[in-house]
Amino acid sequence: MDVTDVLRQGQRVQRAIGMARDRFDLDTVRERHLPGELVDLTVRRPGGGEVRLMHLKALVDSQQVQSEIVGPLAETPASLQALLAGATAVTSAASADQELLNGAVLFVAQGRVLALPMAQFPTRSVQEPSTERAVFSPKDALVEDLEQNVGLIRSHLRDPRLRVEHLTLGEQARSTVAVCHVAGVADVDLVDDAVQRLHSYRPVRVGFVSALLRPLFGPVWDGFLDADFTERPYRVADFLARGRLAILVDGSPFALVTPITFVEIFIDEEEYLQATTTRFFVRALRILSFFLALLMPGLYVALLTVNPTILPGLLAIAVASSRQSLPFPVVTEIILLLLILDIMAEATVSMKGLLGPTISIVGALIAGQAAIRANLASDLGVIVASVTLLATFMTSRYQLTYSVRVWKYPILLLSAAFGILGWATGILWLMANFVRKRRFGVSYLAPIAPLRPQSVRTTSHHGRQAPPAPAYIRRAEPES
Amino acid sequence: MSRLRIAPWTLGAVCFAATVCVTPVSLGQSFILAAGSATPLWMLLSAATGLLGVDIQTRFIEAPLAPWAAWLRNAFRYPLALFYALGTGLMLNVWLTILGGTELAATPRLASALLLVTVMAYMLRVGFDSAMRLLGLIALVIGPSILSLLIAALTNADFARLLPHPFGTGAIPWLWPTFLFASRGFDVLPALAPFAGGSLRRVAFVGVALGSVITFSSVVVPILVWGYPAAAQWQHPLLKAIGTYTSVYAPFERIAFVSFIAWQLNSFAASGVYALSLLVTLRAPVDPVTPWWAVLPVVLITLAGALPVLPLDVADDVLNLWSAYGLLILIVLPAALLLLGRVRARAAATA
Repeated sequence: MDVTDVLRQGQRVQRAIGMARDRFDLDTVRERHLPGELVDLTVRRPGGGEVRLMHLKALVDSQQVQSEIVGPLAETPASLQALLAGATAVTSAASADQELLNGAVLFVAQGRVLALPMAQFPTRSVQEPSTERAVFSPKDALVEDLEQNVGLIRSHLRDPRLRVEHLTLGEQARSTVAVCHVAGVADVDLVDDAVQRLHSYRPVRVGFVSALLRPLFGPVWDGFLDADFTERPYRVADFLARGRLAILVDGSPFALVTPITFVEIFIDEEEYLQATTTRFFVRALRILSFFLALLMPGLYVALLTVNPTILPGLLAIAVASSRQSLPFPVVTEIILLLLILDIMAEATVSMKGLLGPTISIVGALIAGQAAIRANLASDLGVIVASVTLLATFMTSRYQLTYSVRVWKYPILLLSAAFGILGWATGILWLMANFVRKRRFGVSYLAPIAPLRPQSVRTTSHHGRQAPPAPAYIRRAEPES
Repeated sequence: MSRLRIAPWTLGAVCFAATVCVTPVSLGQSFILAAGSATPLWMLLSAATGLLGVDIQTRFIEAPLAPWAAWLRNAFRYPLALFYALGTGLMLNVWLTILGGTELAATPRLASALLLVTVMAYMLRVGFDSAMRLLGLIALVIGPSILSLLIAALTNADFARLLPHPFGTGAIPWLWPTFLFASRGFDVLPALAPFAGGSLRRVAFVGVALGSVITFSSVVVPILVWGYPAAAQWQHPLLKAIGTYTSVYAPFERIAFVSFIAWQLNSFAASGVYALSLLVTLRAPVDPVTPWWAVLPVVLITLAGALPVLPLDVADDVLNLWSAYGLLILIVLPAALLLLGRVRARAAATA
């Protein structure tokens, strides 16, 4: 059997399944769908025969094509039969485009096309996570290749029930999305619901996994984590074993895990190596830091501006003496300090490597000291602003730091206007917003609100003794 | 009745919050003045009444009424709504009066009221389920915080002060309504219980019992610290809330503002739970979004009640009369309906 026979066989298959709607040839593909911008499009005619090969030079190894296809085809055409067993029939010019962009080699003959996947996308090797800490737990991180990521997750969760459903999204640039769950552990409605929402999503392209937040959860305006983003396959596997969904996008080194609750944001698998008391202490410290970062500047302003009578006498005197020669009101001082620190934090994050620590030193030591000496800020104000920033980064989720940094300002302004009352109202707003959040029927504050004492243990414990998924993950009522 | 279901523990927490309300800051002194050295006994009796109220309410809700009582049951809805409407404003009114008279004199009363009702509007707007979760969450916060303040106050306690003391008039006309006011965690059951899943009676009992313990403590602890005459002089609204004075006299002096926040959350919870009950009584809850046309009237009623429309004395009387009205529609009427229904059923069975 020569190549033409193989192609003819492909043609018969196409006809049999009724998919051969669109006759097209090489020129159609090259001229109509791949205009001159694609300079790396390579077309070959092995041995000068009828069959032509097409592929994108950047995505397919030319040497491999030469040694595995062109060479054998020129010498013994029959040897290609085994190779083309893995090929698929291409039914339209658009899908031919897509196959090329997916890194396939197209075999074109007699107006029919077969695609043989031979992609070798440029990718990096598995490295340590860059945004999450891994000291005692596995140190591998997800990469940009979807299949490799699924493999990494499987290596941490060798469970035959792990299911991976592939979807293709993107009207113009197609991206492969993988929805992973453990059958029998994850709620069936949850999986169906998520897949359905993704299916009905019609983006132009899906560049990274966080682009899926909107189709999954609707407009997200407050910035508090609606889903967990992690680059650690170990963490993804842990969530999957606990009844969650993990969504991966080809080209994105992060996994989106949902549904996630507020308490779980502060849980780090690293802690399970510690004694129970240590573990709970660290978690309590994180949660305290979260609230400290959000509320401390507001409280400081409220106590010093609107409600100084609440302050204990000695403290009031200390504060008054430290602010004696400052030209700004408290609220202006603290807003300026917080803004400067936020700018420094952002600069440190943007400038990785050697420049990052330099910026921190310049900002924290030089600018802080200079501001105090120039009577532009009080000692106490600098302490409050610095502790706020430190507490912000105490939360173990990088994405969460942004929402904390943003929302402390409205609370601060409320406190400046109405004092303690405004500050407490800010807390009420926060609480009301948190209890409102439900993701796939799971309350964001579960198992605290609604209170489910049985699930508190499941959420906070980990290991062989614990049930795999907290009860609140299994949805008992339709999502509201 | 509805697909909405309140988790049993959430209902328990809400019952707890409703029981605590603002009793410790507003009624302790008048109660002591009225009951004298029998105050602890009256408070225990009050807690027992609360538990009895839970029992009657749960039976009333679960038991099918005789057909002849159907018209009365429908009519009962509006007196109940009126009860909640008064409660939602009064709870906030008491709090704002104390607030203006003590720590936050610089903050305009209207601004305070507007701030709180704005959050309340948001709470009602985001739906019944979310509102219940918020109230349950607040209850989880205020419980330990108030308990810790009361425990702190106990460092200055002298149990000899509880001994019989020639004090108290026993002639205050509002002793009985005040007595009910101090144990009203069951008030919210007629509105909320139909949506509760699981064992209602157990969690409602636990919630009201815990709330009663705190309410009891908030009246008894001042006596333990100062004795009957001094505790009875802490008159509303000129003096500080219990949280403040415990902070002054206990080792927690330096975090006095914490008690203030606990009471703010508490009064919000108290007012919010009545507002939610009012909404639910008048209109079946729909999640996730309650329409503005249903939310706004409730919010306006709350705002009207919270602002000093009435002179203070009149407001105090309304507050107490409201409790007496609650006694009628929450305990007397349901008990009568229940008993009559059973008597009719027994008579029919014998015939």
